[in-house]
Amino acid sequence: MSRGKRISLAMFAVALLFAISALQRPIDKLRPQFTAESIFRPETVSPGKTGETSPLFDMSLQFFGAAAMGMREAVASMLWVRTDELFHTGNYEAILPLVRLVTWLDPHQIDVYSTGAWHLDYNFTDKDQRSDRRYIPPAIALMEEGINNNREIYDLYFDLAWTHYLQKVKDPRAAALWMEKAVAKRGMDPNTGRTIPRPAFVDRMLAHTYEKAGMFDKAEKQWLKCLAGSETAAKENPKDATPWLDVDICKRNLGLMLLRLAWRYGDMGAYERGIKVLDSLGSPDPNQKRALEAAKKSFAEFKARGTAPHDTQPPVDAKFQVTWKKVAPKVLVLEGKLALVPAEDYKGLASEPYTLWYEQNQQQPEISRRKWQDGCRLRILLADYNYDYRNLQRLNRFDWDVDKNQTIMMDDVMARRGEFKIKIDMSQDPSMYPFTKDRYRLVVWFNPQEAPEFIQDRIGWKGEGLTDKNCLDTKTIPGCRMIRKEFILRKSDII
Amino acid sequence: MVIWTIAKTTVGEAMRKKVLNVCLIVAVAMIVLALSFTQLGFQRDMTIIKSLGLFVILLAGFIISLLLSVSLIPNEVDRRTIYTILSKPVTRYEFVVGKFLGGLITLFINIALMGVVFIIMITVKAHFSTATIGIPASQAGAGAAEAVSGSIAPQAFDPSLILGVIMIYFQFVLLSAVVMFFSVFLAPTVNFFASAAVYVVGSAASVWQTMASGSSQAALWVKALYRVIHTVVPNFEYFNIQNILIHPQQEVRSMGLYVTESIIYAVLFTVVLMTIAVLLFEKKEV
Repeated sequence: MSRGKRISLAMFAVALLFAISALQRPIDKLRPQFTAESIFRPETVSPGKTGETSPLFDMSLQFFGAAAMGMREAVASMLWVRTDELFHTGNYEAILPLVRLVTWLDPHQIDVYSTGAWHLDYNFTDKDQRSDRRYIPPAIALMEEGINNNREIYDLYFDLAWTHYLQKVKDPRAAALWMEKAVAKRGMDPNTGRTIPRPAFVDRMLAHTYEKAGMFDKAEKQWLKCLAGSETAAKENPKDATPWLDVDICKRNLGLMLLRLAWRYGDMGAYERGIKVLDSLGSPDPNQKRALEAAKKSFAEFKARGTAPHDTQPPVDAKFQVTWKKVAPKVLVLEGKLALVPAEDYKGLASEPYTLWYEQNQQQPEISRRKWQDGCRLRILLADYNYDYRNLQRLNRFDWDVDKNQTIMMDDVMARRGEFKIKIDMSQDPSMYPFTKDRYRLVVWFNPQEAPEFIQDRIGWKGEGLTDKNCLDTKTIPGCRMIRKEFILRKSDII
Repeated sequence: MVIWTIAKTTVGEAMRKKVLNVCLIVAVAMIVLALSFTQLGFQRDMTIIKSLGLFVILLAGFIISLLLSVSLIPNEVDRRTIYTILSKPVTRYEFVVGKFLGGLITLFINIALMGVVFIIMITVKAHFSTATIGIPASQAGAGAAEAVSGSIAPQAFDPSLILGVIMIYFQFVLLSAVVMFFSVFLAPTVNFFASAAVYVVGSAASVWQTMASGSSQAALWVKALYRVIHTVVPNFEYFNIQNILIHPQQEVRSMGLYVTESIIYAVLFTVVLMTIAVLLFEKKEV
């Protein structure tokens, strides 16, 4: 090769190097979505998570190296398999660091957030299987981090709403906020990851949650939206049975909610709409047919009389009483009475021709006839005085290192035949119940929003048909009438 | 024509190398065996199988390209066959380019084979599976599983996996060029470690970037050093799109453009390295 050719080639190579450098800029502009920077320092979608520092620098070098060399997903996958093994062997403590590592290495494995947060909420328990509520804020922080990293699919929004706010914290309003975000997102094909329509149950669960939270107008609108969506899907795929089933589910739930609005609060417009919706179901089930005919007949009678039903009036007096005593250090016994709901209270309810509970109960022989419609669950909280279970602590960043000096015990007890009694033994789990503070709050309450439908048939969704001379509480949950009794305990009262 | 003849001969020689064949067989076996993983449910299983499958292709590709390219020229020198070749009407650049082209074809055959097996296995598994979506029954709460979960038949063929295999191939085209570049002036053993080191540094580009730009306290010279590394060392991380393929819910602003630009980057960098290699080989005493 001649000297001239060599020089030309060298100049060509240098020119190409400049071209490469120029090409790197547009690639880098697209690239940040893949970089450690963007993965470890996401923008925020929820309040309270701004300005966090990157946990990138907290990573151990081994994982950091693996992550950098294209093995990130493989290492994360292997660690996740190991996590599953630890879960099945009951080594729960060891799971949390692995969850942290896996989510750092692969922030798009949504199952890790979902299962990790569920694990935090439910699996750290005392010997009586009461879960350690100190882990709820870390669980929610982990879910929020997962949402930050996986914003375009519904999964984690829905999971946070359902598993954490609705099931664990029992806060349907907070759950509704997250479910509203979920219904704005699409689903994902589990193999190819392509976006697909969100499953119908997500939208339906928002309607249920609105109903649970007492937001009936929103619930009705949401049910109608679900119904319209399912009907469109059914028309587009007439051979697919699933959308037709979805149509039935929507009609049944919407119709029943409207009838209940009428029975409980006297909304005759809802009564008419409810009958119309259920009538369009055309159910071949004889029980459904009978119930619908009974509702139609009842509606016609009310209309003819010019009156409206009002099953929640007059209110039921809960006659709530509760006492507590220490039977041993860190062992309390709580007992009391809750007069919810006497069977006689169901006599003549507008919902009765539909449910037939009272009539069928009366047909029983005297000895097996029920005097009470049991189903009210009381919640019990014994915690540090300053702990507010309604306003959970917010963590700016997922950290499972909970405050070991904090005591939170939460349990529940079912009132049967108007009475309840429970023994709470906290003596076996000193790490969960350290009792390091001087003052504690013991709260016992009944929230009608958590009650089953047959109880709500008498007292309403939000306790409109509930009263109590001493323990009626209308402040803790605005718009909701609940039964609540609070005691202030000193450390010496417990230990 | 001469380049093509040398390339064909190189492919024939390379395909007879037992060590490369063993690598290929082990990799294919690992991909097939990964399918036996069925313990965590469809979506999690697929995440694991895909990540492991792509990793196996990546690892095998790395080993094959390194072992193959490191010996392409030194072997000819050691066996003294290079004298016979260069005594024919074959120029030095034709020899280097022909050898390199032969290496790339061999690499293509190996990665394509692994890729085809991988994609077929994934497609077969997805075709015969039903995926549960929503909240698992164990986490849904008593009696609620039906309300918050469902099942769907997943789409079986995932064309984006082809993209993953193509990107892995171009990643190792670039690595092969690095190895060829070193092989004109370094001994094979030194070349092996030098090329592996370049691969490690180039694969951690985003780490250096984060180190340099992530901390406001980073010294100016650290940032300058990063810029130099970023330009001079081939950025292998551009080709690492496994995460996007395994979790395609992540939207990329323009995946097509990104892949095209990355491939052009690989080609240009390969041309630069090979040009320098040719220039150095011209002056090399053999």
